[in-house]
Amino acid sequence: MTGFKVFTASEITFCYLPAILLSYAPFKAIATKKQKRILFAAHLTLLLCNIIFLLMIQIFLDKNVVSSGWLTKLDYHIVGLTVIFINALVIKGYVKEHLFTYGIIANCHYLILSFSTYAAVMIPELRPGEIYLAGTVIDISLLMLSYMPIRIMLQKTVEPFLHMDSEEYWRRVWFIPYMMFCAMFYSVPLKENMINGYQLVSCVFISFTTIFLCYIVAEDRKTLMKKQTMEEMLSQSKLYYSGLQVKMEETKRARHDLKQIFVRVNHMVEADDKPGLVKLCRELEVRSLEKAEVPYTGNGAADSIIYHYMLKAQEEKIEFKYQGTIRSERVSDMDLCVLLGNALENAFYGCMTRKNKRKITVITQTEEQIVSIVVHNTFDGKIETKDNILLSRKRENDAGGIGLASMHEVCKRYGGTMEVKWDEDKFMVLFLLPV
Amino acid sequence: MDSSLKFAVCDDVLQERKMIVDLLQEYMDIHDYSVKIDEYDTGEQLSAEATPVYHLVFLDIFMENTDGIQTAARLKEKNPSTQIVFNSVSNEYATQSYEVNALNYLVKPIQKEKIFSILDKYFHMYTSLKMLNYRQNRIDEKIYVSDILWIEAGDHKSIIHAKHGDIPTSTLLKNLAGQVDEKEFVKPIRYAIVSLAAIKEIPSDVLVLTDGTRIPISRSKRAEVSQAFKDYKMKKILQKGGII
Repeated sequence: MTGFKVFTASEITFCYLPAILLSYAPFKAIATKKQKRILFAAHLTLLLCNIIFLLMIQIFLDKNVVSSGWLTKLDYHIVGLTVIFINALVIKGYVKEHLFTYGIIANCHYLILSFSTYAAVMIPELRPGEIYLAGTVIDISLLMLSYMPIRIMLQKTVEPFLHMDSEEYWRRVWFIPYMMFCAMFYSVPLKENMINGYQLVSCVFISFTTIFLCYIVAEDRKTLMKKQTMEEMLSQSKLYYSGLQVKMEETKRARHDLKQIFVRVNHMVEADDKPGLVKLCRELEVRSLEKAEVPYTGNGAADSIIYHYMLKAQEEKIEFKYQGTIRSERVSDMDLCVLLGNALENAFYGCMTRKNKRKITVITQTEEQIVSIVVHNTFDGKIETKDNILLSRKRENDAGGIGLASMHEVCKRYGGTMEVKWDEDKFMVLFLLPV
Repeated sequence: MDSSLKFAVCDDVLQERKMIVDLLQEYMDIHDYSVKIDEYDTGEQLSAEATPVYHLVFLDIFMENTDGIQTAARLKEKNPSTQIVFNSVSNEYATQSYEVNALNYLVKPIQKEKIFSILDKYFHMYTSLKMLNYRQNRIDEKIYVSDILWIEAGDHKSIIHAKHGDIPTSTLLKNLAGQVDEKEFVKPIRYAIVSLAAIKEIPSDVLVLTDGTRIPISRSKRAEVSQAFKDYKMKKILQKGGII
């Protein structure tokens, strides 16, 4: 009998494994190696403690989980809340995100548990122990099958919003999945590990509605963010266009000047005015041939954004240099704007922390397979962080990040990569994107 | 100085061409260097198959019927180590010149000081090129590190896969690896060290080199290879932008 108790305690604990893995998965990219190690150890300890807890409770109360629905229910809640607590404690600054993530997982897994319990009961001629075993087999199989769909769901609803600019999103949605899970959990009394058809249908409705609701809210948020970026892009393109118009006027004037020079040269040749010609040549040689004031990288979106920050830098007397080209049809204009916009915004406010030697340099390079972009700027050397996240110093009392997560997400989507480095007075960001 | 060095000057305006050649000659005389200098008036002639490979080329961007940037791209394709110096009446095309990794961009009128400073930079670069020593058929040999794509370990020997072909050596991989700069090479797998300059695609689980070779990256080395590649790229771009 003790053997069976050990088996049930281990089996129930084993079923928590997919939930633990899934609860960590969206934060994998932002967790440091140390945090990963701590999480691994903490979760392993939790699982071992849970086996002991279930075993002890079965022995001391002389109950078994097969007949005691309340025991599994209590355990489910304790483990779930402990996982959220551990994750929130180790990967700090994401309490709402952890709650939301676990809420989604709990919804799906509780639905699976309800279904497997119901399916096992429906199998004819099974004794209670056999029903429990059949339910366990169905439950484990479904947990394994559902791993990837839940992972995809988390990729769509959690990962794109793991940066500080998405605070508003989390304020609105964090409680939905966990509260819905609680609603489902307490509405279905798994007294003796039994569930009827109506209760199962209720679980299906609650669970699917939650997933659908979260998905829709996430998609709406993404659309809104896209719209905002598009609007920004459009205003920058307009600005760039006005810059081009000025440049065209200058070119027209230069063409006019050239014609005048031809006329002067012609007169001098006719008058055999050699000293005059020599003087004119010298005059033309010393005329400064300055670099075009309108950037041209070969990519309209990049040009608009560089021009926008070039003007902002000029206003603040920040030296601004750019060089190189960007030729990649694979990277969308909007994503390029996210990368350059965030990097240049940070560079601009980084420069503003200095009183002198303010300089921003954008260097791009298009090779056969890789587009490299470096945004380099001077700053006062002070880096502010919160929970390992670099903070923007745009405004005082502003707790916003510097958009690293969104830049990282864009690079990752294209199979590219990024790197952030700084020393005592320089800050630089590198993007490597496949062409 | 190595007398096999070859320079070319390509400009459709004879006077401009002569001026550059004269200044080059003056520099060589001052420093007692022996360099062969050829002249071309079109990009087609310069980039033709039969034309020898040049170490340094002074190239006009606007020539009649010739686009200097395209010519430079063809020259780089023929020999990636050819160094290009563009000369033009304005710096409007300076941005595009970075696409072909130009050594410098000269704005006409040509100034002696500017040409001399470019030549100083070139010769400094040339003389500081690192060599790798290896043993082949009991004879000590050398190869420019910049010519190496990757080195493969064999049984009691190594194969240097260079730009111009494979070189079997009797030197052990660890002895060859000890001679190269750790920031320029990476070891993705037990049996190979790879030049970071030869990597064509962003590393994932495999390294794709410029000659198409694919070298697997062992799981434990993926983060290290990716970091080394990013550091290398950052350094090169900052160098190119004159920041470091």
